Amino acid sequence: MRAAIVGGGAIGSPLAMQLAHDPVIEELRVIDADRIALSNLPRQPWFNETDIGDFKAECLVRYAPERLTARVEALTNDNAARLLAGCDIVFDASDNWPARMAIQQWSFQTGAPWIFASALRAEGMSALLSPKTQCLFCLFGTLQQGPRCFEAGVLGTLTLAVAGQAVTLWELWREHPDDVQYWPQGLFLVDGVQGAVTKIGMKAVQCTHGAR
Amino acid sequence: MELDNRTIEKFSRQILMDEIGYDGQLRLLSETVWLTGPDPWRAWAARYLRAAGLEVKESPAVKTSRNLRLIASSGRCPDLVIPVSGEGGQTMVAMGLAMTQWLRTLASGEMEA
Repeated sequence: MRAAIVGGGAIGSPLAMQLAHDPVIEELRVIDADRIALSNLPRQPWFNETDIGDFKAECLVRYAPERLTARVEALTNDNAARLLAGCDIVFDASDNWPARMAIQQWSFQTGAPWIFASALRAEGMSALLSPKTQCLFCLFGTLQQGPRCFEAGVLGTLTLAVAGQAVTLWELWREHPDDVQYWPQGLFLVDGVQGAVTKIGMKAVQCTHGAR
Repeated sequence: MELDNRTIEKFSRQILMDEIGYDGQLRLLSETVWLTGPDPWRAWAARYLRAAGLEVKESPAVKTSRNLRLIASSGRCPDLVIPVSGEGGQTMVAMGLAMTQWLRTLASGEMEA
């Protein structure tokens, strides 16, 4: 299978390190235009002080060059078809809504699933999304950018847990990629205060937002 | 002890959190943790703990070990045991959530009283 991770930061870097060892994945693209900054290091521990100024995507590739490839670009509606071409699934680790909207549009156009993930303070969430089940609009309605990590803070260990929840959704999906009945449904809340993952059920949802 | 500007910038996303703050970051930076358990997860835990500001002393576990164990040398927090024998995603969630709670407790200093 081919997969892409949009964002090589706090959620994207542990995703890349874990998925690079998954035998089902033959190619894993890391898409990120950002360079490594000092304030990234406490929650992106695959980077160190000597990497500051390097591109995140290229730094992650150095850990597993045989499986990972880097695309040093920011994902947008205009380049999504090119950057995500041939992908069976896409992981969102982007920390911004424009990139998520671009993945959602690509998913509507291709029918392929994607795994949404976000983290802030000591809380995060993740969900498997596809036109056949539930989409970003089913979960959140009309979207707005909320506070981001540089405004509200976040703990690196919490981003590890959120990346782990995204990997768990992937592990469930890859067992039955052609049978929607077995796909994990709902929105999974990762609560670093209570130390638990809670599922908000979405079983009744049948997405119509992607219909043309 | 005071944090210099570079250290404040480095840890700014943690200091911004109410549960950590400036004093909490000082406690994390002054903590040494003894860490044992099987690889690769011990190495993952060590990365995240060092990145959060702690000093980490690692010791390999016997091959049959299925748990990570974290011991705060200050005694400010109870020992933490994390099972790491499940699937990758499940293990990442367990490690991430358990270490988040542990770091919040360490940073709060509540155990000191």
